[in-house]
Amino acid sequence: MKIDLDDVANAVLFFAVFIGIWQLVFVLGIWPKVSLPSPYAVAESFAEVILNYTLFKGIGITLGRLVIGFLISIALGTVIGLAMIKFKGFGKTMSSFSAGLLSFPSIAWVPFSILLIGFNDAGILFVVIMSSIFSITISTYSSVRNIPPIYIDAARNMGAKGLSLFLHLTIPAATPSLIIGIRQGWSFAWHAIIGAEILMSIVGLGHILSVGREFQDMGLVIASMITIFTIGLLVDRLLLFKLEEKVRSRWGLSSDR
Amino acid sequence: MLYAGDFQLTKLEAKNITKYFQHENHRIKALDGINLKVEAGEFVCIVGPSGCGKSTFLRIVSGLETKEEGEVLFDGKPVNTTSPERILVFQEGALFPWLTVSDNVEFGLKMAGVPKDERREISSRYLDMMQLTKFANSYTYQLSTGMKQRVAIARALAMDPDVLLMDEPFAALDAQTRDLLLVEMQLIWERTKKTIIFVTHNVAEAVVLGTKVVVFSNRPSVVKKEVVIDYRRPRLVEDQNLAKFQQDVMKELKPEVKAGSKNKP
Amino acid sequence: MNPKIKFAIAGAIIASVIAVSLASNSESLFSLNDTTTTADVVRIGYFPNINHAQAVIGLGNGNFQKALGNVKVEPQIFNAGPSAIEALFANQIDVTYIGPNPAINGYIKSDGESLRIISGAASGGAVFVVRNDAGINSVEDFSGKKFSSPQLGNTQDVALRAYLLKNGYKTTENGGNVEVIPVKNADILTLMLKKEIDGAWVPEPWGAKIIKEANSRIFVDERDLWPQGKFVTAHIVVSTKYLQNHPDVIKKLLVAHVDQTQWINQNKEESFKVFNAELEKITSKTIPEDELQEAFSRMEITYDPVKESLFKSASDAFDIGFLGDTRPDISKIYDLKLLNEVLEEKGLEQIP
Repeated sequence: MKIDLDDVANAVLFFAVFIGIWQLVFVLGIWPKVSLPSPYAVAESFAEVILNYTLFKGIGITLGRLVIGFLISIALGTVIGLAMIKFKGFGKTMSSFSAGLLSFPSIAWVPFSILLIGFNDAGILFVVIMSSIFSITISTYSSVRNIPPIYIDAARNMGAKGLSLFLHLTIPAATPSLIIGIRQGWSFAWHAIIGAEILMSIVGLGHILSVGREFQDMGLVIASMITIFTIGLLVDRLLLFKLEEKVRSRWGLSSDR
Repeated sequence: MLYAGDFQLTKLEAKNITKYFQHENHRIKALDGINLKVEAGEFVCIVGPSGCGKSTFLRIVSGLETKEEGEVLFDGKPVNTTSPERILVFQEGALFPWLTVSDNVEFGLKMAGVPKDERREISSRYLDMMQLTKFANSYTYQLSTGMKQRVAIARALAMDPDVLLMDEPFAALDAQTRDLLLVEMQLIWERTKKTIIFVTHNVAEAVVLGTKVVVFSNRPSVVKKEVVIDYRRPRLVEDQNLAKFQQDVMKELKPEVKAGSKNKP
Repeated sequence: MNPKIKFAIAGAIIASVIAVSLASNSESLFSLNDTTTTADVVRIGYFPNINHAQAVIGLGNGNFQKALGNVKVEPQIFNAGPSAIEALFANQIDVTYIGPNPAINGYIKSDGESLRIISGAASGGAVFVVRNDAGINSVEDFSGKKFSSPQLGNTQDVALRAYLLKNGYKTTENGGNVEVIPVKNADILTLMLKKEIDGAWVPEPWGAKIIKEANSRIFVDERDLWPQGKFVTAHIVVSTKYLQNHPDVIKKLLVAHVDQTQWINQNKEESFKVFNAELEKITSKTIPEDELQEAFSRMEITYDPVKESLFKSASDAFDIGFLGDTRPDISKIYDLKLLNEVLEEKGLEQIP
């Protein structure tokens, strides 16, 4: 992994200036001390939740739920997407339905989930799945439909059919487009897990954020927010972005050729 | 299959192929009873006015497209589906962008269950034949159009099909590349002795390559004339002696093109 | 600009931030937020709850506005203590009816500066209910059970956790086997109905509701845990600045509050009806008469802040781990001077 010193310097400077401005705003007292804590107070909160392992436990729980929920979304979403292709009537109806539910706010699923599933891990997973599955269905449906027919013709001509056609033609041909859907689904799932944890969990990152608020501990609130932001960023940049770039460069779609 | 008493082997026969298309809200008859016999080892070139259904005919022969009437006989037996015995080389190559050049060439072999080492050996051989060995591990976006077409041909040949169907494979190439490939194509045919059906709109190309040139009429198409090209090999496109054959073909083709331009919506 | 220079600048900025932080210990040097609060408006927060009955009735039917004369009363409704405290800190309201623990949290967070408690509003009215089929017959039966409270850190949450601690139980976050799940009151009812929790420590009228609708009974009436059955469940909190700048306005408010308290206590039946009428205006819902009766039977509308119960509650919260590392000093949280003036002028007994 090539690390550009210039990029790192820019990021570090950006970060430092941000902290500097924050400290200045705090010192000037533009917001009451209890509403906007100093960078130092936030650092203290960080230290506290790191040292008592709360932060790591929280991250572990949140990511654990997220990964399970998201994997289920991918599995179910793909199956539904493929069913939509096979059964055209279902495909058309489900397409509109999915589009409507795609941007349905994840928090709005919470009351329904509490009543239907319960105030527990399964309920949280439900919210995560409902928030992300439609990205996967829609992207599977459109990715597979948009495979140029000529690829299918060539593959069939060369003897691919049934499962081998699916594994060796459909999936690789649809992959660049599928990855985009997966990235979108991931970000929806991330939104959903934090929201669900604020509203219906007693552990996890979202819960830590909520505790901060309950106790007017703005330092903790901001420390949680920073953690949530960082993890979301890291996963996207280190995992998904790289995956997408790898596929795109192989296909010759990458911007730096 | 050899039939007792046959002196020649009819590899492929199209009998009374008829095809309709749906255009807006009326049916258009594209092919009106195409009859064509192709003997084993022949290099048959099909020419015809634009939109006359040459490509459609080729796709029907390959089994990728359906027909309303008629049959396609392969080694005397009717065929309806696509098969690796009749490999189609598309106009745009249709190489798979997610595979390297050699993986592309090996695709059909992989589908047929050929083991890895053997696949590698076969693909190397054909890439070598097409002078693309250096690019075995490149991805397709790194190749020029001419190179992509050569990979497509290598991929088709690697499957060792009985019949090679080629749908205007050189249409998108520049003149020099095309001229080179015309020579190569003849060499490949001599070496592999394949039966080839080659669709093109370029009469000079058809005359250079074909043992015979089949002229399709304007839509609804029938086989207007088969012009035998009795000339030594290898033929070069700039050879003036081919002019006579070109004129023979053009004589049949020109009126069809003129009639066709009147038909256009 | 060369990367090395960028790193150097960044380093300098961070170093100075750290230096300033350590030196000043995060005190703000001066506060631009010193906007003088005007004397012709008083922004009052309250919840649509029965233990804020004086506010629901008095703000709803105009009694408070009458008592405050030229000072415009701007009521604002909240659903939870922390939000009301946030609003107080953000200078969006001046005074609010609120529960005890949010007030304690706010006081501590602001190092004793931002608020004062100026009067009581309600005492009692909290019960620990359990489902009849949860297999809980005595304090011995809590292992592996799930209980709810209305919100993490609120009065009932602290009461529940203190009760568990006193009886030798630890919550699951602390490695124990009793799970405490804080959820909104309405969700508590749902979870009780769905049998997903075994019991809950709730304020009225939820106690009455859950008993009636979710096949439950009272396990502990919280009044039994306090001397004379009195413990603060609602009181009035004011921003210190507003109190300092406009004591006259606050005094008028307290007059209205005491008068409303008296009226409710002397006109119980009618006060139920009026309360429901006002409640319906705010929330388009009412509380069934029988639930209201039952709820009120376990609580008292008062102006007595029941100071000792607050100090005990704060101490419990500290023991549970809610209030940080040092036992908090909230001895100066009360400022009852104006209340006592009002009581004296009315010939009522003052609060010591």
